[in-house]
Amino acid sequence: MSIETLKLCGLVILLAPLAGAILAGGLGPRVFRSRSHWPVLLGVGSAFVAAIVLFREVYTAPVGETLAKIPLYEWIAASTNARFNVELLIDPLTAIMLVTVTGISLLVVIYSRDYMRDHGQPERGYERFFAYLGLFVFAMCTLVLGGNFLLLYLGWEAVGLCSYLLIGFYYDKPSAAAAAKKAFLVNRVGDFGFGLGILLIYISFGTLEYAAVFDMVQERLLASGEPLTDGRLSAIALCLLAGACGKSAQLPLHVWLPDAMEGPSPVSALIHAATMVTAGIFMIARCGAIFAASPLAMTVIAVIGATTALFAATIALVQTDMKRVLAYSTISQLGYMFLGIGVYAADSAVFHLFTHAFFKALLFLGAGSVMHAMGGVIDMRQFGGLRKVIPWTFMTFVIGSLALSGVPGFAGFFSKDEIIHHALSAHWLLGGIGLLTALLTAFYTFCMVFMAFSGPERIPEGVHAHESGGWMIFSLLVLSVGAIGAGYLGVGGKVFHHFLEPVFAETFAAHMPTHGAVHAVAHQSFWQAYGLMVISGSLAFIGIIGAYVMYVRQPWIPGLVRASARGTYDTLWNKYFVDEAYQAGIVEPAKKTGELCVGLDNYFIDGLIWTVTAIPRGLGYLARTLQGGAMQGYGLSMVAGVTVIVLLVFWCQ
Amino acid sequence: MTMWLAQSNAWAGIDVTRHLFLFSPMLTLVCTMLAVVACPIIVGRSAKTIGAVVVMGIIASFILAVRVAGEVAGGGISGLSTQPASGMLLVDNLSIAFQLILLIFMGGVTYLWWMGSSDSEENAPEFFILLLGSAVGMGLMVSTSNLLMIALAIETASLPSYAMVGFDKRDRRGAEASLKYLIFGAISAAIMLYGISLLYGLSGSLSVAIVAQHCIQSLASGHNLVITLVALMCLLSGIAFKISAFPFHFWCPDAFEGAKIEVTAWLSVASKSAALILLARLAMVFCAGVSAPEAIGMLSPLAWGIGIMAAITCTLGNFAAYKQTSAKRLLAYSSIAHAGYMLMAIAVFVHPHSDHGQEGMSALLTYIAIYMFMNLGAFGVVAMVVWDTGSDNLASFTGLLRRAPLLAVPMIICLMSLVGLPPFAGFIGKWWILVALGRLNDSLGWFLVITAVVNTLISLYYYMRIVVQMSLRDDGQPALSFPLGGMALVNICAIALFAMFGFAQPLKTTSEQFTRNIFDTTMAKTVVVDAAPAQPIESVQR
Amino acid sequence: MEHIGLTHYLVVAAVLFCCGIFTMTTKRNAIGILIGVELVLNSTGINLVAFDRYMGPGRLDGQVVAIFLIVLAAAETALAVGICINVYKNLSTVDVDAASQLRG
Repeated sequence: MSIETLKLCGLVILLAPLAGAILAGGLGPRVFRSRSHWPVLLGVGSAFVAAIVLFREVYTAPVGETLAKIPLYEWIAASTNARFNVELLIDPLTAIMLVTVTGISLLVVIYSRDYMRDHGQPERGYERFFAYLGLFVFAMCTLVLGGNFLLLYLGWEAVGLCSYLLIGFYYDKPSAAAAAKKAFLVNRVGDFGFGLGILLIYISFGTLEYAAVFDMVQERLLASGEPLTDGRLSAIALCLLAGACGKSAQLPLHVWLPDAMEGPSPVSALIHAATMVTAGIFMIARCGAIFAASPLAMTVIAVIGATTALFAATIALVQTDMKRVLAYSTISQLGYMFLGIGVYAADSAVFHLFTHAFFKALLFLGAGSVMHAMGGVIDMRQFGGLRKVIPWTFMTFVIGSLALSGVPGFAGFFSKDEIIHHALSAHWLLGGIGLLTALLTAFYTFCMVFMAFSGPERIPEGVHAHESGGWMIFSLLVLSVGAIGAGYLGVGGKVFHHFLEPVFAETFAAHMPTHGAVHAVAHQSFWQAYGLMVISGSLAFIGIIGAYVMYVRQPWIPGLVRASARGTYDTLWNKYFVDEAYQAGIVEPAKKTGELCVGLDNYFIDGLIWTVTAIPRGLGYLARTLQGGAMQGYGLSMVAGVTVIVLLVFWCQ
Repeated sequence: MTMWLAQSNAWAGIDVTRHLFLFSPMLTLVCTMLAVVACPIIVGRSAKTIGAVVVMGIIASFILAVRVAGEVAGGGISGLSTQPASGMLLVDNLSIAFQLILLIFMGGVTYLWWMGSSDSEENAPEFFILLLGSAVGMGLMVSTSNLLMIALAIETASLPSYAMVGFDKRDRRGAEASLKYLIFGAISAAIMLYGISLLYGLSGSLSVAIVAQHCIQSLASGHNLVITLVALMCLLSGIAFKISAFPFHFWCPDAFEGAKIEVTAWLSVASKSAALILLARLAMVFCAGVSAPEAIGMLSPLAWGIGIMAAITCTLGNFAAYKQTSAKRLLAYSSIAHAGYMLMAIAVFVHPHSDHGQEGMSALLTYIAIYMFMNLGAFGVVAMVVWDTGSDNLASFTGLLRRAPLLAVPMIICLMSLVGLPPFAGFIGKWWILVALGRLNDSLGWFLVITAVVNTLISLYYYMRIVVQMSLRDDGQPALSFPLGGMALVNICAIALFAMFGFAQPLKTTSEQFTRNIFDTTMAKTVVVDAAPAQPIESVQR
Repeated sequence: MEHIGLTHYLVVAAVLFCCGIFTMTTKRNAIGILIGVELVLNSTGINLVAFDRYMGPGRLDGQVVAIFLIVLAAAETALAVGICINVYKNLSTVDVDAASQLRG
């Protein structure tokens, strides 16, 4: 690997989208206007090209030389031992993430060119939208490329900010503003833990650089020379995990993601499905040395992941808003990734992240295309039988659904199967939950497909339904190819896993409790190796057939189920009342406390503050009295001032 | 012509071409001034024409300054090397660094004025003559260590400023502001000149290095003690007036409030920082003159004097800003407070135990560069609000985040930066000053650190008042109309503040480079006294 | 009869300086204050020339400064009168106490 090439690529990946964003945001309103997508498109496009070049560099590098640290400059040298650098870390994990992020972003930008238009006219805030997108790509690439926890944190907060801005893109819509606020606040809870974790790392190891921290974890040493205790390590890992749960929408911090669908669909596709929400997975994978060394943290991750996967899948069963179904399915799939990491199969988790990015982006963009055709309506009860109306969207959406359901031959199948396989070998319950979730996933996905596309044609009143523009269809087609083909990177020769091997060799792979299980896979009998594939493949088909029966053949069944299992249905429809529980358990008490505080504030604190601030206010008053406006007074004050200074100097000596 | 000059007797040994080159940035400004004088006769008086001429002049001057900077850095030229400031003018890294900052800032102010002026603006040539004149004065203030030149430079900078403050002849407040500024300026200039005459009498020279040695001697021996102290205080008061340090700050809020907003922006940064650099240079030369161990102790009162002045200045500025309702006046007090922070950096290298002189100086230079962007951005936004609403009262800012998000966001960034919160450059500026103070590790250093931190907390309150006014309050006023260029200007300032935070260490390294040579020569205390009378332009050692 | 030496000049200058300061602090009229400033500047001039004369032959620095001082004073006065006229136009007086609108 040539460091120079990597450095150049890294800089292009970071700066080109940023430049695009600045151009679109700065010159957009008056210069580019309806062409505001061009600067961002070119910026992200060049970032994508650079990411490909970088990937090639890493891919062709000889074994053992796939990791490169590229210092850019010293950010601040607060003292001789507290130096912080701006540096990039490039390894196979980074390379894969960069290609995924920039590639999906590029397609989303292309897609948005038509999506953000109404009858050919750009929507209000067109340039703002693209500026945010460019900024997001910059932030996400900073997160991925950064060579220390400081840059990770910077990127982490910056993607959070972009997500906030984009969810609230239609800020004059109250629900969008509320959703943005919710996302911001819930993420704050996670980020607090994350920040605390980084602080703990700095206190413990005296540095924030990845390599140095991870080395010290391996050697179990603190900066002070004392040994690193398990408790401290687990504390660090759990703090970081809190951040990951917030960003990747895992229980119990998942509540913001479904509401985040208030943003424009391309944003949901890019940020809330394909890239930003995977930041938590990426961070855990990157900090493998810390997490893998703490069995407690790994167990927590696996349990959270499995629970979330099942939990979100059940909710998705009854949702009727297309984007909400997809949002819950995203949470569920992220749960799979957590589960994968939790059972030490980080490479499978990253693989799932990779394939998921394609088909989930595809599904969201497809849903956006439906929404575009339906004039902004996204509730599936209001339309149906669209396969003739929007054939291209229909076709690509089905491909995405097949991939999500885990139908053999499509991308989701391979990656999900791997995770379930590893989960089964860790604990039967985890694997069982994985299988159950797979069944549910196939079912709700195809419920959605059948509801929207099959049956007699129903279109909301007054909507002129039409197929989306060429820019949108292009993105959908490219993503469909990914949704079909991406999985094959992980079968047979397992190109993907070999590529990632150096990253996880010393972390997850080395700490695996059933060490050698990976090798055991190769020597399993036919049924051990392929039996699971058959089972999960059949589960997918059973789910699809179930959906077909319920929504096409015998459409009375859903009604019956709804009526007979009222309680369960309501619970699911209301998302297990989590929002209500938070409302009652956290928001309301907080409000009450707030009211109490206001009362206290008015009588006690205000009095206290009044007393305390009396000094500055008094001094301020005095200072302003000195400034009386008349010059004679100034002259006297001047003389007095000189005297005061002279006296003070003599007094201080 | 040059050949002839070089051959003639009086100019022997002086490379005239080279010297002209070294002073070309300021000479270019003078030429621009002449061009602006000629413009009304040749091409007309319109603000746009004059503005274009001035901008071209500034750009030319900037390019030359960059070239001179390269020359000065590469050739190791230092005006304070073997013959300390025997000349009237000198060019070194510090002066060039300041001139670069000044020129960038001047470009910003020119641009702001250009946008703010109406098409019927008739007085553009006069305004720019004054602006350029004061810029030349400020440029000279930082490139001399000769008492006569100091006096001349301060006056060159001041006289146009008085007129600029009262530029709008129909404005009652402007008239009052200029009268106050003028009278204070005249008085302190007169007092300073008296002090200079005494110092000349005491030492027989106008060169600060020699004056410093005589002063130190008399301070140490007690001979002529009172007269020396009086003379030094007179000199200091003249400079403190330009810095608007307590107790010479009284003109500042009044003059700044009455002046046009562009003028306020100009004075708040340019004239203060020029005076700060001048004081820093004097302090530096003064300290370099101290070599005897028993005399080093004499520096302590000086350090304490400046330190106490700094502490009171920034505390007073912050407190007085507390309940202001005029944004201009609030920013005027804020600029007093910031002058206080910057004075603290000077206290660092006057300090007798200080081996960290360079740290203080580079912290000062960094702070000035950052301060320039913060103030340009903040004043730019205030200017645009004033143009649209006609008032700089804080009430005009109500709901600005909705009415003009592209102005409100950079304003918030600039204000946060003025407070000194990360992730903006203001934090870095304060941080380096605090680090330099902390390394002194004695009572003065910690006293100033505590003062600065407490003051930062206090200042949070009144800056946040504007932020709250812009974001949380809204009374449904219509959207603000503002020029696109102005929006770009303030946003560039905001981005610069981000970038300077992101490149904290490179910024620090650059400012260290710009201050290194100076301290290499003077802090090593190798100054050789040369009592030869001054020659007119001889300035720079090869 | 005593020889007139440097001290005499300095005392005259100091007295002049004090008169100037006294004028500045007591006068309400802007022109009056500026006359006080002139007095201080003139005391400076006396100082400089006297130092040159008594500190040895061949000294010119002080004289040069004194000449610059006169130019400075002239420039300042010209500007000051302009500003005073402007103030008079706006406030109908040049009493500095009247100029106290800007305050606080």
